[in-house]
Amino acid sequence: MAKKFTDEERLALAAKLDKELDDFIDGLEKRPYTEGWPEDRWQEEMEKHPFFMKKMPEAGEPLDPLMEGLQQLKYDPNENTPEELANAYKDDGNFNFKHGNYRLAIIAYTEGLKIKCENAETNATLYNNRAAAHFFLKNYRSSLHDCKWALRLKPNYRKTLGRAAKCCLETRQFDQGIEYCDLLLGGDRTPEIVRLRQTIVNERKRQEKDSRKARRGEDRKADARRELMKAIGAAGVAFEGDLRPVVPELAECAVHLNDGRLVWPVIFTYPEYQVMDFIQEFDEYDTFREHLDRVFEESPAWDAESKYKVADLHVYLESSGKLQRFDIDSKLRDVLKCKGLLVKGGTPSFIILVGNSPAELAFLSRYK
Amino acid sequence: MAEALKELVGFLHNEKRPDLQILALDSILATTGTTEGIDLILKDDVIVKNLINLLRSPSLSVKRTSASALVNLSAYGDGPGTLLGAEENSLAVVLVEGITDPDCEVADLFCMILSNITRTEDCALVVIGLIDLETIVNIVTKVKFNNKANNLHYLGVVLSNLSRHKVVRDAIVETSIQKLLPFTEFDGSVVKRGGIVGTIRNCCFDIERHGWLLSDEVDILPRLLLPLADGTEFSDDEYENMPLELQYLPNDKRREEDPDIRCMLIESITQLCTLRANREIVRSRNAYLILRELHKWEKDRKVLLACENLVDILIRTETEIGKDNIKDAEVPDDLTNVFSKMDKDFLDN
Repeated sequence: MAKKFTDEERLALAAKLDKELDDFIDGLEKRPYTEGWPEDRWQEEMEKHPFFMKKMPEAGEPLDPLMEGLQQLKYDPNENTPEELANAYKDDGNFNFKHGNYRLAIIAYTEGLKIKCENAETNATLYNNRAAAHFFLKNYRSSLHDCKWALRLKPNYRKTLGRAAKCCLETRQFDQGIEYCDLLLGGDRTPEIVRLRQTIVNERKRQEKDSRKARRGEDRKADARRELMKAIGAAGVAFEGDLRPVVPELAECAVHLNDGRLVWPVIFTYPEYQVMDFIQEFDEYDTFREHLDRVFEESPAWDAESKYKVADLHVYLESSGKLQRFDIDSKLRDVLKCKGLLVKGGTPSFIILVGNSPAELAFLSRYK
Repeated sequence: MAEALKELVGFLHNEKRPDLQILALDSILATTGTTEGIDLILKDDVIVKNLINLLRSPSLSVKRTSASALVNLSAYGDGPGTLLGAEENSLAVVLVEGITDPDCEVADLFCMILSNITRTEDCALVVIGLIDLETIVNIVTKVKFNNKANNLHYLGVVLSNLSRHKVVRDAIVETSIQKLLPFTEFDGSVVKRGGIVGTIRNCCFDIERHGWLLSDEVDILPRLLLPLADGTEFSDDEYENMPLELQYLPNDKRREEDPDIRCMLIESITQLCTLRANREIVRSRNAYLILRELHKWEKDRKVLLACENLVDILIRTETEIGKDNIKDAEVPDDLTNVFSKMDKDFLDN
């Protein structure tokens, strides 16, 4: 039995209820609204929302929870068949690929392949697409590897064959590249492939030519070396060890033949001042005097007292602990063939002293 | 002798006694050792028919002996026509079947018979009608096609014989000349190399193909020059314009050993020099240098003459030649005779 309200009573009740609600709301704990997007950064938040985002999150970037949820739904093995999953990853990869995110695309295709779904076509596409992504990153070896897998699953995959041929060109596996081209050209003589084959064939020819040229160079070096050895033997020079000079100043001046004459690098040492001169090219028919004239044309800084006059100089050579003196007008050729003389480090070395100076006497006394 | 042959025929039929068949075949084979014997056999339709039929015998010895007899018969005078005409070309059919069967044990003998038969242009034409040329080219260019130790080298000669017909040259130039070219350096057999170089030479006779043959896609010139080159060293500048294949050849590089093949290679290049634009290509790639060195070394007068003819074209300027097609250059008949006589004297001396 309902009570009949008058208008006044009804208004009074409404006012009372309003007040109660207001009181209730006022009675709630006062908390600021924090879950909304801050006004100054709403665009950024919008970007994060999976419905509005304009670019894919970078690998490793924390995911928006909503995105994570959606992803779980999309990639959940319980919700999808392996083939759907593989295709989902493929679409993902393709999306990244289109936006130039080749690395992300590779990750997606790899995930797709990990599913090991049973559809050869899908797997071939995954391999092929990953090969394409690798190709754009210039990872030609990885790309070729993926092409081979794709071709194992789908032997006449034209796109893959073409890419495989290009990878072979880049990695200089010319024979195989030509095989891929020929497989393609067996079906259809696409001008692009005809040109590609031509390029590979030419590169192969060039490589063969370069290696023949290199071989010729090596042969020539070996011939020169044999000739040099023969000349040294004929000149009666005994030497020990490598013929390449150890002294950096003479490193490029190893003994060589010039017009059938041996040209040696030579060291003059001046024990009195502990300095040396490096003669880069000492023709075996030159005399010591010719080279010493050149060295002392201007008095060197270390010869402060100007004692070193060519006419006064004595030339010595030390071999097996013995000192031997040579005439300043001897030719190098005649000196080097002396018995018991051994050239070390490919560089004959002579000791130069001022004749009858105290320094010479002191030096000679060491060998008494 | 003719009577004796008649008696042998009876044994040829007896499939149950292959031993008797072989005895009879041995006698026939011996008879094919002389031209008189060959004449006798070729006149005897029955023996010819039997020999051809025995190529399908289940006994390997029977097959081999009858094939050997047919090699001799086909090598001589009218042999090709007579053998091919017998039994509606059945010989050519058996031969082609055997050659294209990887398990045929007598394929090499078959190739020899076929190379003999295709020597005459008419017989070659009959064979062309019975084969799939692409299959033949594929077999020729395959390293090892036959599983029973037959090398099929004479198939190269067959191809060369067939290529005297334009229909064959057209098919080869359009589809498979690139596959044949590497065989100018094939060192496994002078027979096969000669056959393939002969085929290539024949293909060079069609002027309208010269541009294609010299294009990057076929690039025939280096393949013709390489066998003519040895390891002679040239300067870097001289190498620069040569085809890459000819640059910096090793010291131990040897020239083609067979003078006939050298001659065919030179003739091929000479053919390619018929038109001005192509002569200019050959000149621009320094072919002259290879020929100059060959000429210094060459002893065979026929090759020397071929070489001089080609060099003569290459060293003349286009103003001196004055014609697009060098064959249009007018040489009066009396001079032609003088030149022919000079060539002949040169060869005879």
